Amino acid sequence: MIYALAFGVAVLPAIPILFTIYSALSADPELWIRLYQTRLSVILPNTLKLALSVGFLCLLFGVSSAWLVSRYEFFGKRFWQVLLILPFAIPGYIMAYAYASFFAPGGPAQSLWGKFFDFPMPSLYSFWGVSLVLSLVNYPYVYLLARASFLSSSQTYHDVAKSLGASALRRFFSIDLKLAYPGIMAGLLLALMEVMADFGTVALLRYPTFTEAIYRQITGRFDPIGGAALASILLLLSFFLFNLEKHFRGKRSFEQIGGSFRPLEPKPLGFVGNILVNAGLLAFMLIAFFVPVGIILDMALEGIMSKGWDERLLRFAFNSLLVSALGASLATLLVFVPAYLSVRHPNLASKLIYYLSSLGYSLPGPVVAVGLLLVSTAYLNWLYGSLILLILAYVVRFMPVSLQSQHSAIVSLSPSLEQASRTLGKGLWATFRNITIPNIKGGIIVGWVIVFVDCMKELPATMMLRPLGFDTLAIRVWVEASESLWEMASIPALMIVITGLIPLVIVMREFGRSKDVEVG
Amino acid sequence: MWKWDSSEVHLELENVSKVFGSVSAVKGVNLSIYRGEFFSLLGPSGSGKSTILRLIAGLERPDEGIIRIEGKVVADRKVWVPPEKRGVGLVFQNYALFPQMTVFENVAYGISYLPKQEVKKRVRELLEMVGLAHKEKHYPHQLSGGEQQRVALARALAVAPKVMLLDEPFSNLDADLRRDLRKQTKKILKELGTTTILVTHDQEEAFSLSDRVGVINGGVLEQVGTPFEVYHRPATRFVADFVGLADFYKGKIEGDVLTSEIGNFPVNGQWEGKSKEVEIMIRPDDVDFEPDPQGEAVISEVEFLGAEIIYTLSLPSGPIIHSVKNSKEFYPVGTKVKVKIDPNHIVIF
Repeated sequence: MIYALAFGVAVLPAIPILFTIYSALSADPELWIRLYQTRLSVILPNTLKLALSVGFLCLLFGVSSAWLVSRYEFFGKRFWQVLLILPFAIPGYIMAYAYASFFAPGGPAQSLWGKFFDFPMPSLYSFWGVSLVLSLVNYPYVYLLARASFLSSSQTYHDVAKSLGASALRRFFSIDLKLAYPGIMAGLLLALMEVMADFGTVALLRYPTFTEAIYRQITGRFDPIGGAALASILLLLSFFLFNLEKHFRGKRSFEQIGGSFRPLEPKPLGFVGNILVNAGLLAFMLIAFFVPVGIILDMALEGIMSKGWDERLLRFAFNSLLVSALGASLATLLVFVPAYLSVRHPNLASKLIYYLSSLGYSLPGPVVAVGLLLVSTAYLNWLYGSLILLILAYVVRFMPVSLQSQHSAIVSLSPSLEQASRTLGKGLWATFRNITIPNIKGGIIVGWVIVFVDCMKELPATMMLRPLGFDTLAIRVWVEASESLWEMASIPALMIVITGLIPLVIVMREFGRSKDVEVG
Repeated sequence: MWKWDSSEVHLELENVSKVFGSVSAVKGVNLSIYRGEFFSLLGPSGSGKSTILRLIAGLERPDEGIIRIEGKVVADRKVWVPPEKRGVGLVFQNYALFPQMTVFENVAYGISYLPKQEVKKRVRELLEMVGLAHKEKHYPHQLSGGEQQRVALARALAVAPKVMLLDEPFSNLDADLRRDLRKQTKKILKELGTTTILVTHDQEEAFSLSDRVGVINGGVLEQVGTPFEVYHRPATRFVADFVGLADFYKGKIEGDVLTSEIGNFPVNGQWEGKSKEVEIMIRPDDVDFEPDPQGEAVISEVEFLGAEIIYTLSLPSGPIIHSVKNSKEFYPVGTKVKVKIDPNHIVIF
């Protein structure tokens, strides 16, 4: 019974996946040929090129900054290591929008450029523009996981290696990189999955990739089968990344953080080093966070000054809150049983349920949307254009986040607490209520918040599945920005960025906690 | 000696087996525990001793066999009484105190169905008994390991369990504290007359606390007996080896004489008159020596343990044998000695 329930949750992501693949396979071969000639021949190399360059830049930004803050002691380190995750709060399409308005013809950047150079300014609407924006918003994945890996490398290992006569270079390769490699790879793959799934950035900057092509196929050409065909290829790509990521994540070892764990003592930097590092980090953070946020803030203030407060904004904000809260709550409720089973009853069935439930993470928004569109138009027509379909899309896409968070909360709860409660005469439900839930509350809430914010930011599925005239903040940013009505987009964009900061506060609290571990 | 009633079987395991995947953790165990008895299950890690405890508590289901508490079947092929209905108290190795509750709330947890005043009275009594009345408002993380252990004991005792199970409750404590807590725990449980089963890998702990000990290895109960019996008359080679120091030698019985590398001894009882290749065991405390310039054995190693000293003696025939002496005197390596072996304590397998 309980397994049937869990299985019902687990197959949720599988339905749109299977339907998409089924539709793609049953498509006319002619369609494939046409798709290849008109779309695939462009978007496939485009997408791969983008993945390559963003991957490279994310490694560069993420690993170097993680290395700095984990291995060196310098002025303001505590401050920088937290600031470095801030770009996470900005969705790609908002970063793209901010810079697009800044670099727009006649905008502030261009007039500044004209004063110094007499050749035209490089355009943001290019491969490198897209690469840079996507790297700036996604490198924190690499940064966070690389930092954790570098920190988990114990001083003891270095001492032992030194006592065995290993040089500094050899220690770097044989200890640091070897230990951090799985973590860095996992971070890189997460960033790449985001690149595959990104719609807003590439669409705003007019760089055609899969997601953008799928969107046009559905909304512009009313060709769901063509959309499904493209979606199924994208699905294969991100499915591959997803499993690779799982592989590397599994290889990360945390066992070293045991009783005898001694953290690596960071090397203090000299005066010149301090200046260089601070200047470098400041410049980087300006580009990655403060300038884009400043641009948006500036526009928002100007907008309010000149035109006053737009009454509709409240409705957009309310709509965003409503769907995001519903999506997050449903996801939180649904994943509890799969998360619990996978920890307390680890057998083949519960592992399969866990794997299937986490599959949604590999699904780019447009793919989820195509799948659910196909299913609803084929069988459940009344669902089409209703909020339920949109919320289902959120649940499928973001369920893995709350699954992961509840899973780790349950893992860290010793089963003996529940067993003690049972031997003290309390039944299954009383034990759940009194012991399990109060002790994993933190994990449940964190999962809910992260899913909530992810829903707030979500763009492609929202666009494709929302009821007619149902505008959220993300939709407004997109609509105004794609019409180059920069100012109109600023307040909704600002609201999204501010919500996006909430989960970062949670991550920062974890930083504080891990500092305790580092010291003691 | 504490009293326990060997006429009344309180807990009974009949041919109980448990398999995890392809590993059989418990194999056909038969065991009767008497009312008021303090019983220890002694064995190395992975021997299945904790599994037996969990089977009794109802945290695992046996694949075969019957478990009875006070004559009532709580687990067999058809019946399964869930843990909350068994009236079995369990103190976990990690104590499993509820972190979000105070000491008072932890102890009160199992009796929350009682009227408030009564809960208060009972919790106070129990905390008084374990000497922690002044810490009732503390949270578990504010307590030391020993205090946590005592809270766990009080919490388990609160529901007045028919049987108390202790799963290595002293293993996370410092040596000094461990001795104190063992004594205190035994005193409390004996005064209440609670039937108790302790799981441990520490023979000293099992011996000092228990009325009877069961030695378990590889899921099989190898011997059940008083500490004295288990130590001096081990039923199997494993028990002899696991419980205390022992030396083993090859020997041969012919008629009423046992010949071996460490000497010839008379035999009687079940072995008398047989002709057989055997293995013999002797404990260091049954081996004595005195320095003798004419002696043929030599001290080859000395291990000073404080109150006692373990000497390794090389015998003229080749083998070595261990001897324990109190540390009033000290003999250095190289001393020539004459060895005396107590033939009554030689165990033949």
